[in-house]
Amino acid sequence: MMPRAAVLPPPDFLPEPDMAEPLIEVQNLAVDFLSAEGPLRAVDDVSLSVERGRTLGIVGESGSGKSVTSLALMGLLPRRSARVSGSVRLDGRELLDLPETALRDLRGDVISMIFQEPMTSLNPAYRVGDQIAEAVERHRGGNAAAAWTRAVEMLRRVGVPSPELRARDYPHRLSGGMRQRVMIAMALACDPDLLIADEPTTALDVTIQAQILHLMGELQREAGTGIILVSHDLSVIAETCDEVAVMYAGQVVERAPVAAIFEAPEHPYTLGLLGALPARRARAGGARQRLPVIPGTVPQLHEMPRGCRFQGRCPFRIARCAEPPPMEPVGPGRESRCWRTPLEALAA
Amino acid sequence: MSTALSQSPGAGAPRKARSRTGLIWRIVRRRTAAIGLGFVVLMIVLAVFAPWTAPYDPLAQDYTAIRQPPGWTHPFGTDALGRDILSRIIWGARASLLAGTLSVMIAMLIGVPIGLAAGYLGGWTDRIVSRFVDAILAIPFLILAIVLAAALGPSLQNAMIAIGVSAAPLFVRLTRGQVLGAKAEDYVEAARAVGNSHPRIALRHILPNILPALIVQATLTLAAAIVFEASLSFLGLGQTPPNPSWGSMLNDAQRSLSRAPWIAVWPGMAIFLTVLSFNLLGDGLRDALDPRRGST
Repeated sequence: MMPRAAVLPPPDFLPEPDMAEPLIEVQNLAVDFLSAEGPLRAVDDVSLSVERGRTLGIVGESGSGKSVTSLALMGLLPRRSARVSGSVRLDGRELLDLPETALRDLRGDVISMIFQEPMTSLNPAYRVGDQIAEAVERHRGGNAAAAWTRAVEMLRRVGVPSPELRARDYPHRLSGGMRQRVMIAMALACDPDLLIADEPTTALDVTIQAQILHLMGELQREAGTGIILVSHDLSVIAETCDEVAVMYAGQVVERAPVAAIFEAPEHPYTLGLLGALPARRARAGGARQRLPVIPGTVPQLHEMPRGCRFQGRCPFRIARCAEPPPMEPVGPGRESRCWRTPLEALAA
Repeated sequence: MSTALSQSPGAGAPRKARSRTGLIWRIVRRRTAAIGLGFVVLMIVLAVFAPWTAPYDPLAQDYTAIRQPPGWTHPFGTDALGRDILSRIIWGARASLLAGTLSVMIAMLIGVPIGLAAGYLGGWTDRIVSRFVDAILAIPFLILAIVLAAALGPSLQNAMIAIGVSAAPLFVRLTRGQVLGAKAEDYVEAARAVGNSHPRIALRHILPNILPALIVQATLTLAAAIVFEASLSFLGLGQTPPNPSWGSMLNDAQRSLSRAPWIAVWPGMAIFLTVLSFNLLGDGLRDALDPRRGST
């Protein structure tokens, strides 16, 4: 039942969650969108896990299924048009079996989410303090005054200057960086166990980006929050994550500790992604050469090749790639979905 | 840090715009809208304080002063029964404004919740509601209102109900469209991500954001409702005689149109100016509340 050999789950009859058990354990997650031409599989066979106080990075191009995966974990995909299957266990509790009302109680309390666009993710009709207080009142109860106090306290914790005053501001008066701090305050107001950050810094200036990432790390160390950081930006991942899952065309193609993946990628797609990093090429001493790109584009959902999904763009393609490769261990704590790993053998 | 805040793009200009005084200021700054607002306020004051502002009893008949042209004793003249026209216009404003306001409120009370549900829930609810609304909107508004008013029986109250019910589909359609737009906003997803329920998101997060569009539509519909109240009263389906209403005054006036045209002119002017004022105010509101002019 468990493909991972490293960590065995505690037997079902043990009520206490074992410390070794990850905070969230995702197994064989699949998302099908129902369309007129039949179901389209946007996410396929995604397995992930995050431990308390650790950060997992999910990296991939646009359309690789990163955001759909994070929405699926939050249970935010429309139930009418998206079918989610597999298993998502949070602290041993199966989320996919929970009814909407139970999920609603978890959202914002146990699992929180930060979105990509701070400029539009706050409701323009309410003061920012009210929006944070709403989340607190929803999950912690108590009176409005206590929730407001908590909102101001959270704004202070995320580094918003003069929080008592800023709490009374409407979102349009705050800059993008400040708004993202407000979003973080809102997401963390109820001390969630898991924070899903979907491209939290993509819409921000580089300097603000660094501040926000630093803030998230700081708050994580204080509260022991597990973080799933979705990003297309490898440098962000390298700075902040403990583990990385690389997604391509709806699948996780490689999963590894962050140092290992930058040292020696084990999937041709990861290799391509790293090669497309401009800074890396410059450091390698290449004078003004063309920015290397991975040739071709991500296949459309309805024309996904039967075997390896990267085969159309892969320089290491062999006949066997027509069969779907499984996710296989390739080293300590790492897996790759490629027939040709380890790739080091190819270079030799 | 505070400098970073004040320098953020667009943070300076809309600062005042959000406050309530800012909204009124933005209307007043537009001259035509200000004129509309001024006339509407004047009519409301006259109508509310009608017992004191009207020089005569609107029902008092004076057979010694029948069809008198405008003059010193009767500024707007008198009608066929010797009643003071100015007093009847002022009391008629009560009927018109009350009918306009209440029928728009009825229309919104019916239309907004249905539109909100259709837009937010989508799917079959939306399809059924939308087809039904399309079907009703295919019927000419006045015909529908006449049929409803005739079925309910002639009275001002029934005219309001008839106009309100006939105008409700307008609000269903507008609300639905606005909700469809607002539903896709990131803040709605963010509201779900902190565990809000669907009814709460629809009422607390979406409704306040579509309110500006509804307010503008309400103002413009109010103008239309005043015309329709006058039409129904003219046809004898609204205000019951001898109580004054602009529409019924026009009806009374047509019998002596050639001999005493002023009897028709004053209620006609009252309708014209009030409707024009509401339309100017509505246009001004539309501009002032337009989010593209920097309030978001």
